[in-house]
Amino acid sequence: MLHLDHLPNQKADEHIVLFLRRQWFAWASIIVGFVFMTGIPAVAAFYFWDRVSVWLQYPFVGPLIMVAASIYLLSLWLFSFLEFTDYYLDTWIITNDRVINIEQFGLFNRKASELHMGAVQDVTSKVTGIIGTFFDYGDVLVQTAAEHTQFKFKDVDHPEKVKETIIRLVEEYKASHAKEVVAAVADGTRTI
Amino acid sequence: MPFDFATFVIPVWYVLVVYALFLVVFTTYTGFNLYHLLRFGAKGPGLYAILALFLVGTVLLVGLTVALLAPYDWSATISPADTLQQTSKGQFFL
Repeated sequence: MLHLDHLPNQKADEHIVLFLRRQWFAWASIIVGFVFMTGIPAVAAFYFWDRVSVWLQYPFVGPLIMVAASIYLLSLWLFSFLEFTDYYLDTWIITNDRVINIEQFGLFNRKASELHMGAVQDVTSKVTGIIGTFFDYGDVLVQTAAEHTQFKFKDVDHPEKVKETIIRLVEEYKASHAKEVVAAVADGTRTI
Repeated sequence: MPFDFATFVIPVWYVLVVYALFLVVFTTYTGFNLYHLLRFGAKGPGLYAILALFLVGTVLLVGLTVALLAPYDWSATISPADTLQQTSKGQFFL
């Protein structure tokens, strides 16, 4: 279990500033899909109940239909929850020291990476489309000096605010780091 | 002994084998899902609520399907020959 009050390799002065997941459209679409996929056969069975009720009384066809319906319903429930787990385990944690990117791809593929604030070179927020603009959600791209290292926060709420927060944290990190270097040089524990 | 289609019967419980096999797969994936949530989920009331919803929903739905399947006579047999005869007389789809 991931303990937010005790992250792996957490420094003494490190604290979580933002904890992000994809915005509510992601899980709402799973619920709508589940309701839709269970609702259509249920409505169809209700509408044609005079025929369906007769079929259900056949000694072989009745159990066959019921087993098929049971498998369909349980499969929908399981796939919906697997999709939800995929959504739920995709998280982005931003502390005053680093950015942690955890992505779940299906059940058996998981990618966890982190980036120190000192390595951040560029932060970009991107909002596209009417829905994204209206509900204020979009992507945030965090780029490092390395050409191919890029974190993408997908469909997060308030991407502009997230971008501003990361930029502020990077500036604070660099300022405090510069102070440490100056102090170390002054003490003679470090040379330029 | 030669095969006689007229006397050939299929036990209805064969259908239950399909359901049982599905339940094995369902239980396995449910276990994987729970493991992932417990292993990688962020500790907190949200995670516990999701786990409770998933477990309660799963138990209720499996219980519902078992309750729907229980009233059938699973010891009955079906004769394909009789079924074909009824179907040809238009008695299957009323």
